[in-house]
Amino acid sequence: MPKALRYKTGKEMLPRIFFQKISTTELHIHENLHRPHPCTSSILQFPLLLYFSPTMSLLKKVSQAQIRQVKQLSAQIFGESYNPDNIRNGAKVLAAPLKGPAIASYYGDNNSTPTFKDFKQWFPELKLVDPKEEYRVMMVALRKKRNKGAPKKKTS
Amino acid sequence: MPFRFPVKFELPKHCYINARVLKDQFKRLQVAEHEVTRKALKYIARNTELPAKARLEAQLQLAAMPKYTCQTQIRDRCVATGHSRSVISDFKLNRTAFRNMARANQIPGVQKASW
Repeated sequence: MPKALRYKTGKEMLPRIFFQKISTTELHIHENLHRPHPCTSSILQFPLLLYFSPTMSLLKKVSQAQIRQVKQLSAQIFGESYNPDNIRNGAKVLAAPLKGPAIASYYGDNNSTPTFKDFKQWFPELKLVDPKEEYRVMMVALRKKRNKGAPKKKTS
Repeated sequence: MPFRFPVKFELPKHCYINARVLKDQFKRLQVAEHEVTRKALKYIARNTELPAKARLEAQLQLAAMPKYTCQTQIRDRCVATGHSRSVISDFKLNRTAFRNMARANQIPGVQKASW
């Protein structure tokens, strides 16, 4: 086929507009156009004072000292600690639970189950024999006999 | 023959025994014994509301305590082999010991995963 009659194929067929990136911000704005922004909802337009006392005017502001007093009282009532300035008083050291018993019992409680040695002690008349231990003792004796036992422990 | 640790203790009966396991067990017992003392000293040392002299003294005393009372010295070991690496804390087993026991159906509720 001559060069002039070459047909467009694949990517060449699509118009250039398809490869333009649509920004994500544009999409989000479009989604929320019909919904009011949460901050402009009516409930927060009234100050929180409405729930404190009926004698307080809605237009009077509460001082920081009063809020601090309330927080302190609340902590006192509920038995919580109150540290607004975040002073390092070591409270977290005391607040952490003790881990001693859990750590000490990692390798198990010795009195939980009896061992073979305990049975041997309780019933000597039965003359119980542990085959693996017997084999080990026999091997150690044989090795000692032909001078292959464990070397003497250095005292110094 | 003298006991090889400063304080005598009963050897653990229901796990694999090793020189390292014994050392670790001794440390654990000592940590449990001195935990309250250490905690009190640490509290004094960390409390900025106390006089500086008391805090300094507490810090020095804490440093002077034997190192086998420190929690960071403890290392979880495998209960079946005494190995300290690759220990799965839920089972207190080394990965190989865990595998062997699991394949022998000795760990309840554990089977080969397949999903």
